[in-house]
Amino acid sequence: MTLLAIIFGASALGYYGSVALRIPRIPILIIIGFVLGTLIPSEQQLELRDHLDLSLTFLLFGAGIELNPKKFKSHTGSVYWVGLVQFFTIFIAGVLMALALDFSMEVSIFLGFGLSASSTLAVLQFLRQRHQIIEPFGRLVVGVLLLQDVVFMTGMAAISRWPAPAWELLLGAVYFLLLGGLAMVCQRTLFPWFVNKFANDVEFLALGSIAICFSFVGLANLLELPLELGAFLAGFSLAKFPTSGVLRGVLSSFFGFFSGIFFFTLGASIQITDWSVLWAGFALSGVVWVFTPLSVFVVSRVRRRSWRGALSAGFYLAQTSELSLVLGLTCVRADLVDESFFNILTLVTIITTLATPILTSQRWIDFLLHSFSRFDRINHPETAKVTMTGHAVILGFGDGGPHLIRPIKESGYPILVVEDDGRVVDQLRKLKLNCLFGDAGDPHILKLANLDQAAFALVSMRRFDDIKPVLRYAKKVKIFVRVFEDSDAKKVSDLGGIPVSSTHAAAIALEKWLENSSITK
Amino acid sequence: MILAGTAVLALSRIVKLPGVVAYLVAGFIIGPLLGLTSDSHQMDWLLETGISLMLFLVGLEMSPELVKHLKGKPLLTGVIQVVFMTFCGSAFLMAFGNPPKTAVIGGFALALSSTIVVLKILQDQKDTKAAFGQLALAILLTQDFFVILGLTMLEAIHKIESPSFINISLPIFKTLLSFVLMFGICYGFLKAVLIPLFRWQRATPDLLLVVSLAWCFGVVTLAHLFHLSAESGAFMAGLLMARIRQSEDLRRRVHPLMQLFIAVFFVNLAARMEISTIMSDPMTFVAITLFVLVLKPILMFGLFRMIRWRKLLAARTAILLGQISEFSLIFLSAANKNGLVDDKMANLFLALALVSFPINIIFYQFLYKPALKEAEENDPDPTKSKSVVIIGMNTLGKLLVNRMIEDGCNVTAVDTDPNKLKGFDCHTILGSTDYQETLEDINLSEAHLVISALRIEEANELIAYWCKRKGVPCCIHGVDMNNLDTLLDQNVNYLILPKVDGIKQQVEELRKEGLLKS
Repeated sequence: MTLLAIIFGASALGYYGSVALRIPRIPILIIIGFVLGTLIPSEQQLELRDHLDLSLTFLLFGAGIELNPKKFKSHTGSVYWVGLVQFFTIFIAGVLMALALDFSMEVSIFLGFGLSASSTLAVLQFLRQRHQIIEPFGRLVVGVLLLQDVVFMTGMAAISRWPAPAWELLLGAVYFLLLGGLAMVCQRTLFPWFVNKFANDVEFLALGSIAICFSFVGLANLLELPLELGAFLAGFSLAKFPTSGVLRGVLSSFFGFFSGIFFFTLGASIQITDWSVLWAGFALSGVVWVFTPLSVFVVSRVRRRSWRGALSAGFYLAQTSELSLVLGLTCVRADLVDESFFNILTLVTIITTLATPILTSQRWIDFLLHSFSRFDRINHPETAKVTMTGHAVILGFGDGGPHLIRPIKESGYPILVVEDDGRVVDQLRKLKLNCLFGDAGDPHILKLANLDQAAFALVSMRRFDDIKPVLRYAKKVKIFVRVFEDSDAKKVSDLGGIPVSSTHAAAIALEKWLENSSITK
Repeated sequence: MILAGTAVLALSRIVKLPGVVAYLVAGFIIGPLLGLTSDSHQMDWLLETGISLMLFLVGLEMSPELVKHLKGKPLLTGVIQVVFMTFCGSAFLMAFGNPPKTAVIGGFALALSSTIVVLKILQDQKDTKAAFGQLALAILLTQDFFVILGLTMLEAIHKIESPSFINISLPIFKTLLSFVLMFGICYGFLKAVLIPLFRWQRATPDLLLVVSLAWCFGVVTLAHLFHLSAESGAFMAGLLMARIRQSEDLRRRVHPLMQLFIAVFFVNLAARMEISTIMSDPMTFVAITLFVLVLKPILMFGLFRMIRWRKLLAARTAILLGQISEFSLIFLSAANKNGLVDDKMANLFLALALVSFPINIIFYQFLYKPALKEAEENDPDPTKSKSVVIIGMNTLGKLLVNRMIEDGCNVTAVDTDPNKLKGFDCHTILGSTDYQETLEDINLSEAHLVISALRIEEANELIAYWCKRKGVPCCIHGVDMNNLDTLLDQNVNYLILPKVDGIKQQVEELRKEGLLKS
């Protein structure tokens, strides 16, 4: 109980620290775990490892529940490309770096493999905290995480039988895929029925879902697979809506409880026995930091993603997965490697996770965007300035854009759309609309759009920081800016724009609908 | 354990028995019947955590309003009931040759009744609001205080060597002093540190849960330092935490967590039962079972009549309380750990719980019909009148609440942030709609209309799901235009689409400015 008090006391401290300093809580929890871990007496260190094991199993179960394939269905193609290219690029780079660090071929393969997937737990938490999970790049990232988890676990199922003949390794992978198949069948048939039937019975749902977790863990054990893979698949079998939604309320406190334990014990479990571990940890982290953003960025741009989206996705995926800890534990248990292997993988996971909030901060992405997007202009078809004047400029087409086209056309204005999502631009060009592919917050693009000669501009951009350059660029043009918050409306007015409150408009529309319906009468 | 617990729980739902019976039966099957028990370090950790969370929750239930409500007659009745039944139970156990110390501890365990069983019966029979139901619940609440007192005193009783006045009173005095001292320290810490922290503008519900768990386990650790039981520490932590304004929301969050741990606790408790100790003396078991099922209700009936309760009221309350409590098991388990009762007594009570819980439920279900149902239907709860529920107090939510109030609607505003609920002239509920208990507090199934202004896609989908299930019309914020099919599948009556409405408004503004043709 004393250990729990320490863990939760530290977690509480970490939470307050993260809120006060406005940084994500995971790095703080890990650092506190690392600092306090050294103070925990050696007889409780084993208990700490037990807690790490147990919490990891339950959190993988939770991570599985969060990965609903439906959430990224509109990004499937990009998910496959980005996910697989990143996975194999990091694997190869990791193996090469490990070989350069004088590891044996076998250990290098394990290390390379350990680096190749990104952290579902950390990334989902970061995306949620920043409300970015519903942004297009957020959906892409979630899809990539699921794909990588599946590929990684299939590989792990094989590695868990190492050293064995190739057919036996293959058998491990096949068993995992079979178990995955069972999870998929349960996800689509049995469990939605189960949840619908017992939706009001919280006690039964709670115990039933944990029983499902243990059933899959038991099956994994039976098939000689790592138990954690069973827990993840159990979660995945419950990932479909409404199953996942109903269970969220039932299990969220449970996962919150184990999340506090996990990140603290992760920090506390680092044991830097000598400099070579530290050196290897940083060198392999470097591989993740360089090759992940690069590979994700290149593939995303090829897939016509925006600069911001491609950069954000790349940095969000630039850390090692908690599954690498499972790999570490599995390999150490099977005596394939020594304890330093686990320490290196833990160290890489911690270093890369700690860096994620910094690498994904708006300031860093903005810096990269403005520093490097000029390279994108070279040989770009949009380098020629638009010659039209007195035109209507739509900055950010978004979901509501189609509603603007007809009334503007009917009034006889030529239309120019500035959009940073290549897929939207392609569609609009098919409809013979004038488009500029680029960041509407970039003054260079605004110049190309001839904004200061426009009749008016309509802005639909999420971030106020992107809107500011527009308002500063064309002070004489009437610029109508769609905003959500009243505070943003004031800022727009102060800069000479005309704010249009989506919130007020939505409230009025709802009221009109209610007046005509019989519901509240 | 979990698998067995779930399987038996599923069966228990068919015969309408509460979870605790299912867990005990599951434990009985895997332990005494199949011999599948195993001891592990992780199991001990789970059990300790489960008990601490359960007592933390019991303390959390004791809001200042509830304690105020308990003052006077209900409290007095509860005190008389516990003292009287402890006396009768002790005498009964002494008659079976138990030493006085064991008999008093056993007698106290016999005096307690099960909140879980009683609540189950009352809810099934829709008698929660009946006079006898209310009185039974008041007695049970008083018993909870006695349980904590008993658990605290166990440490003191453990130290008593010979029965002289000094030997008895000194450890008790020391324990009480420790309790009071620790209460003072914790209260001071709560006032000076925790409450200001929770008042902080940016304190989120996640943070609330973690801080509360840290508080719970911290006070439990402190209790060890003060030589008090972990259970009394956890209760004290909960009792003090009940004073913060987010206590209701916190209770909803801790409850599912506790349920999982406590299921493991009861399954494990029954799994460790040694049936041979009971079989070696079956007469004692039969006698004690009859005491609980027959004599206890008769004695309580007599007691209630003595304090001038009406006949029917006294009879119903007495039968309702005719079982032992889950706390009896926790109490005896703690006493057994301290060496105050032997394994036989602990096993006896486990078997007693296994028998008395279902028999009491079945007996009550067959004996009485819900006579007050009609009266209840004619007397709707004024706090639960029909309203328009608006979830999520962001700019859109606030706007909608104010407009609806202006239109004369009966509005309930819901949010997880207490600061966002300030200043509304309507009923407000602090909590997350992910939790079913929040939906019950909102009285969702009786709402005229539910509006979700939240910008959290998953939360909105879940609200739509519950509204469809309960047949309540709903208007939901469609956060992402590319992912509206789930909401449409739930037959949402109206999709709030600020992006589209905002665009339309832009067109309107252009027209007003004379830039577009009307």
